Amino acid sequence: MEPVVTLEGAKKLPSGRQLQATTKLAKDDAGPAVPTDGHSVLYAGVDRETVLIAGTGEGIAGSLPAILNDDPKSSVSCTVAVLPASSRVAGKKRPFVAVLSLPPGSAGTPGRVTIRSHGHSHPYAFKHQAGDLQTFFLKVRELTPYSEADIVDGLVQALLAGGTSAQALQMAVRIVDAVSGKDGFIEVLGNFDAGDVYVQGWARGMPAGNSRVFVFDAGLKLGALSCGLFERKDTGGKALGFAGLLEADGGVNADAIRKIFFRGRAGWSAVEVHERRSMPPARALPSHIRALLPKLSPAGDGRSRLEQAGRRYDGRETVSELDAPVRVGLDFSARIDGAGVLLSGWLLNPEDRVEAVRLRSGGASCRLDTRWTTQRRPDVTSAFETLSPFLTGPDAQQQHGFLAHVPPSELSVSGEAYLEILLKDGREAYAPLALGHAALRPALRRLVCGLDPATAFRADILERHFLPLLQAGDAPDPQIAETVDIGIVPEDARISLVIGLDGDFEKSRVLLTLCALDPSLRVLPIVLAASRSSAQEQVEDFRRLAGFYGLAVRLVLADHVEDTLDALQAGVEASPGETAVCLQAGVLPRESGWLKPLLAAYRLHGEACLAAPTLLYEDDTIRWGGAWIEPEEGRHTLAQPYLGYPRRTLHGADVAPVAAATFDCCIVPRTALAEAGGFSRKYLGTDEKGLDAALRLKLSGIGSVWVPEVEMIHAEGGSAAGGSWKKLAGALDRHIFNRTWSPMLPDLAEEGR
Amino acid sequence: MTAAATGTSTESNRVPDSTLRVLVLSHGHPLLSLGGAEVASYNLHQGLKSLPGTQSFFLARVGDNYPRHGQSALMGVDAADDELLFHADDYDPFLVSNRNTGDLCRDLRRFVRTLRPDVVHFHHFIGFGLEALYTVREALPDAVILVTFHEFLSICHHHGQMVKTTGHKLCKAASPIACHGCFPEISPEAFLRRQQFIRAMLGLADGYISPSRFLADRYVSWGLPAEKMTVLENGLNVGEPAGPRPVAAGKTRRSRFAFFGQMTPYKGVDVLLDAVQRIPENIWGDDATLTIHGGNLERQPEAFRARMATLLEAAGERVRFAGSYQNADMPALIRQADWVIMPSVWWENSPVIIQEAFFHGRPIICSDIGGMAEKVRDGVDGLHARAASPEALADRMSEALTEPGLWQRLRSGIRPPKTHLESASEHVTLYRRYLESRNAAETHLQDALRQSA
Repeated sequence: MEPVVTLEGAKKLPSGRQLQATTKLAKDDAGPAVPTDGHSVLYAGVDRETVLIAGTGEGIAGSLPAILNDDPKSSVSCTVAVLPASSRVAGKKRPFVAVLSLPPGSAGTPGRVTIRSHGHSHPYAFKHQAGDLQTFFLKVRELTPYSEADIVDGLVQALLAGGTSAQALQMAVRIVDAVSGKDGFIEVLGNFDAGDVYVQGWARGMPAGNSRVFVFDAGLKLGALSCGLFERKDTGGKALGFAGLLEADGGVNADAIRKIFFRGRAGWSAVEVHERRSMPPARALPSHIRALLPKLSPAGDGRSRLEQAGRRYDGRETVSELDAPVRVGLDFSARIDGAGVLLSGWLLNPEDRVEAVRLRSGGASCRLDTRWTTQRRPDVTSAFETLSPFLTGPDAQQQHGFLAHVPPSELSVSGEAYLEILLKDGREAYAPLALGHAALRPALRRLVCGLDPATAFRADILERHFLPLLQAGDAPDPQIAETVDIGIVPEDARISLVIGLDGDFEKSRVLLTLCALDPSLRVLPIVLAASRSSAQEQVEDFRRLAGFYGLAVRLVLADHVEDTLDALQAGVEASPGETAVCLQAGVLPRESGWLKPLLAAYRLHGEACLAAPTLLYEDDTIRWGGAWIEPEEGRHTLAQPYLGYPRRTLHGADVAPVAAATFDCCIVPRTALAEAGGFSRKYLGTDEKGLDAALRLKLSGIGSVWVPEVEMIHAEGGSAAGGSWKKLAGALDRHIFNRTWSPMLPDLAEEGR
Repeated sequence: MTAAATGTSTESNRVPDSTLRVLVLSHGHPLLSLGGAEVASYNLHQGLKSLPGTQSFFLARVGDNYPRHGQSALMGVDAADDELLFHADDYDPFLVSNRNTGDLCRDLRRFVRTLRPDVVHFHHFIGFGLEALYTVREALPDAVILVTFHEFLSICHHHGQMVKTTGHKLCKAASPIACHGCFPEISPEAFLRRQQFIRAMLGLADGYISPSRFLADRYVSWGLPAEKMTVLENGLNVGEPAGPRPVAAGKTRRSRFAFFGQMTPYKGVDVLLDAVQRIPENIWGDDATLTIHGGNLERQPEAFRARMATLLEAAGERVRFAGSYQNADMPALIRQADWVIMPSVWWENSPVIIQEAFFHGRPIICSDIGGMAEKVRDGVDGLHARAASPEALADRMSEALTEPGLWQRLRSGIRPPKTHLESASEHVTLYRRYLESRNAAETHLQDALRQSA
């Protein structure tokens, strides 16, 4: 048979090697170049969704809309970077590279792309494909004097020119990642409070000074790195150490950073975070930087910024080291439950060198010098007389003291806090704060004993610092923890005597004795109420005393009790009977037999009132003798016309209804107090607190009745040392009381006495 | 206690002529502690005992270093069946309060119920505490309770002297604020409490007794009802009066001065020593001497002891410091003296020394305040010198040394002091009066307490 295909007809299949050689040949010689016809492109895939194209064109630049394959529904984002032309390109056309972001799931390479610019359409066909990015750029370089790095830069710039959208950023990073070489490692990094990150490591081509970088942490961020370089002998001279500060848009967390892309001399490179990197805490960084500074080469900005960073807060107090006449001291610093931070101290600044004072905690800060009130501090002046000639002398001012309240809405303090003092010459100094943590009242008490009573309680200081503290803090209601019955407390008793105690056992035992000696009192069940913490240890003493005198006593121990009225509230809750005869621990009867007339008045008013006697001071002057709502200079106030007068002024006065009585001593229906909401938690003392409750009782239908025939003595308690606290508490309570009740007093007055 | 002292006598309370049984409480036993109040209360007991129709029992408080029996607060007194000691040392001096109410219930109440006295006479309640009053009232609703005051302890926290804490100025009236001035660390509030507490507790007594008008007036001003207050002088229980000091013929000058008492700052010994130095040599001569008989110097504050040492040294030979003495030694000691000096800088109530001096016919040179001024009549049986003034005292002493016949004249003006028997008899009259009025009108307080007891 004759062969169909002759050997001459069929070409021999080339061998593998020959095939490769052929391909290589195809690549090497000419191969696919960037088309210069103005309507087709060379393309290369970066990844599944990103394609680079290169071609020539006119009038297209920047971020432009484009569609694929002439399909209007298939629109993609396209960013064009125009390149300078080399001699190879003729005419007005300029070479460009562009990056296209393909829709996800698109199959294969598109055939055509049409770019719209200024109303014109510029169609391009996907003509040639470059084998890889390197080739692609190589080919592009045939048309432009730019280096590969320059071309990538151009692309990146074009991408970011439209703003750093996540998409543009991603595309830029993809490109950069594709062309970056691994250049070195980050070995040390750490977050500063201010939000920037210290990075240190080695790289071959890291530029000194400022440069734009891409930060690859959990996401991608554009950042700025400013660094200095130093010798790294351990790299055999091939690389240099770098140390600098990195800032990124939106902040960056040091331990999330994986890689940083930077533009070195040779092009885009990356340094990776080494798996054995160390991360010193913010406080350790300044000293670490200071140790490194001498090794840094002097060139560039990077060094001066690092010098500044080396002076940042490292936990030490540096104000006293300043050679400027600026000193600071803290007398009181505490975080108050739910109410923010309260600071009291002094700042010596006789030559006006201080620009700003801030309170810092974590990364947040709050300016203090614009919000604090000042106080005279002659003691500080005399302690630092030699600091500056302007401290002494006739014009010297002494307002060194400051008092500041920072509410939690402005600065949330957690962990450590410190003061940052910024001087006008740009220097900073720091003072760590030992922030105590306390409940409101103990904190205020402690604060107040260090303030100058003559000036500390001015109305403006109260308004700006203390009142907001009080409004913010919110103490919980008293809660009964334990009840101990001594003797037999009859549950069917109709009346009980309820005494609100403070921690002073002497007061309690004297009152108990007086009750035992008064025949009308000893037959009543006696409820003694106190805070659990103060009374727990006295239970046995009460038991002994009650047993000795043969009294029926119910001891009520409660939590969240801050004063005798709180205790009274808990006691009333736990007492038997419908009627409570209330007494505060500091109140003593002037004579025995006081209960009968008071009870008579109470009954006369249908047992639906608050019946209260006259209250006297220990010198027989009137502490409370009736209170009425009176108009005064256009406002209504709760006036006590007999306050302070000798007791005989009231001789012959009759039982009378009043606007409000104190709760020092009174008879009330047992449930009335609870129904009116209990005592307010906002007051510091007991005077206005009682009046406030009495007014609320009035609103709920239980009016106050004054029984002048009965006199009780409520001596001014406390020591001389507690004078400042009393003054503050009194001023604040009056403020709060007036603010709460002024609007309502006119109506209450109308309701009749 | 003998069987005679015990035994029921519930009916006898109401019949005035039958045996009156009295319990006298004292804050110390004279055998153990040397104060005037202890002596006075013991004298009352002795006096009551010796009156027909009256029985008396003496209960004295001990405390602090006295070793207590484990089981009971009651302890014995040597060779005495009608005396007992009551150990009490858990004491709050500010409120005059006994914290050991357990002992009061277990031992005092049991004791008084067994004894069933008609009258319980607190010759003091220091150390016992005011709760003892309550215990007795509760245990014996029908008994008459009386309290004798020896100083102003109920009114004044400064050792009951009513002398200010600074500068030893005299105090006329107490108030919470004034007292706070003397004790800045104690608030006026606390003083008010003290006042109300003590007054209320004292209200449990049926009546009060004061040995001097001066003291009585102060207590009434303080707030005790005047109708409950009686002035009854305490009595002396001394053997024979010492005759005048024998003087050699020709030398009639009465130049021997003596001081008797405790060496506390209130007794004015420092004023006396200062005064002695001021008397010119020509007046003092070589026969005059001052002998100081005083105990308890070692218990005084350091500063005072140092001052005393300096003054004693400066006084040189004019003064002899003879240390402490027993009451029983008094007659022998006073025999050596012509004049007794009482330069106290505090008010004094009714010092036993005054009575003793008068008993032995010795005129007294004393300060012109308080109980001294009441019991010693200037120019009649003694001389007054302005209190706390060494110059005035020196003048009086100079008069004593130079004015002829003065000593004789003053000595003849002395009225013999009450004996303890006379005093006891007066007390009995008072007791019976109270018992009668109690029988006549039961008070509401007693009823209520009796019911709840």
